[in-house]
Amino acid sequence: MDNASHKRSKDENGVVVDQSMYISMIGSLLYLTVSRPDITFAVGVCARYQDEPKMSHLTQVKRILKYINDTSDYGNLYSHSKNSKLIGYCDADWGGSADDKKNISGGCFFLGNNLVSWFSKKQNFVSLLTAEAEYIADGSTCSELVWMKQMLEEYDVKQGVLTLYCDNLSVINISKNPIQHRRTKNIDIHHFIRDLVEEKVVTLEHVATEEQLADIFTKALDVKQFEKLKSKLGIFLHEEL
Amino acid sequence: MTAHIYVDDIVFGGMSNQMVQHFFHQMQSEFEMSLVGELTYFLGLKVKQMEDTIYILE
Repeated sequence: MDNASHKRSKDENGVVVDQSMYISMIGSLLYLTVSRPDITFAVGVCARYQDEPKMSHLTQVKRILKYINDTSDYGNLYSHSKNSKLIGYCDADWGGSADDKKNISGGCFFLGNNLVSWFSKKQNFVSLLTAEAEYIADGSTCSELVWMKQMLEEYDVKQGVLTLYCDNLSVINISKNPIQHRRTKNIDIHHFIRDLVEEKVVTLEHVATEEQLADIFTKALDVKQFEKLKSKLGIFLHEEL
Repeated sequence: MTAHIYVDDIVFGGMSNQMVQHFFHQMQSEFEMSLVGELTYFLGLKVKQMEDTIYILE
């Protein structure tokens, strides 16, 4: 669905379209992302061009609308289970934004088998390494996890060590190793995550790229993978139940 | 027992039926309220409750 919305650029020579209409379309779509994780990434990409929307961007927004129209019978399934362990998935796309080469962080959080929260966000700075991009993404996912843990404790749901899955081994190594490497010198503030690992609040685990559920929030996927991750997130067609 | 209140939309539930009934009666005596029944629609979200699962649709 969103293959073409990937690697969108500013399209400076494109035909200008009505900005207020574009903004209101994006506004409505952003509202919808609250209950539709599958469009979060695509809407996020289109939302970056609200400044000077061009025809090519509007075409993409219309594509998302068509997709929603065809999939309006899809909803999120929450099932009862004894397992109430909080886990997070997080991923980053290297140079995901064509205009400024910044990376996209994405992540999702499960309570037991159920998807409870997700995000897709362009990072604020350009990173020099793929691992750095992932590391930044992990940092923001971690803070969300810790917040959710506190929230759950309010409801008397106790959590042990939180698990965060990521598909980059070097990130896991950086988080465990307190030594400053020559190439990780520039990652300073993000070492928040290293403290959490040290204090055994969070543990980082490796997950194969195909099983990385956060992928859907960081990049455009082919139809097969998109549908696969979508069902893993618990998004089903009403009749399928 | 948990209650979520958003402006004029209220949803509540709990493991103990007694507590749920108590909450309902208290709300009813305090405000003019009626019990709509099992949750099917909340803040524009369609909710379908089944045996072991809950399905949420926009």
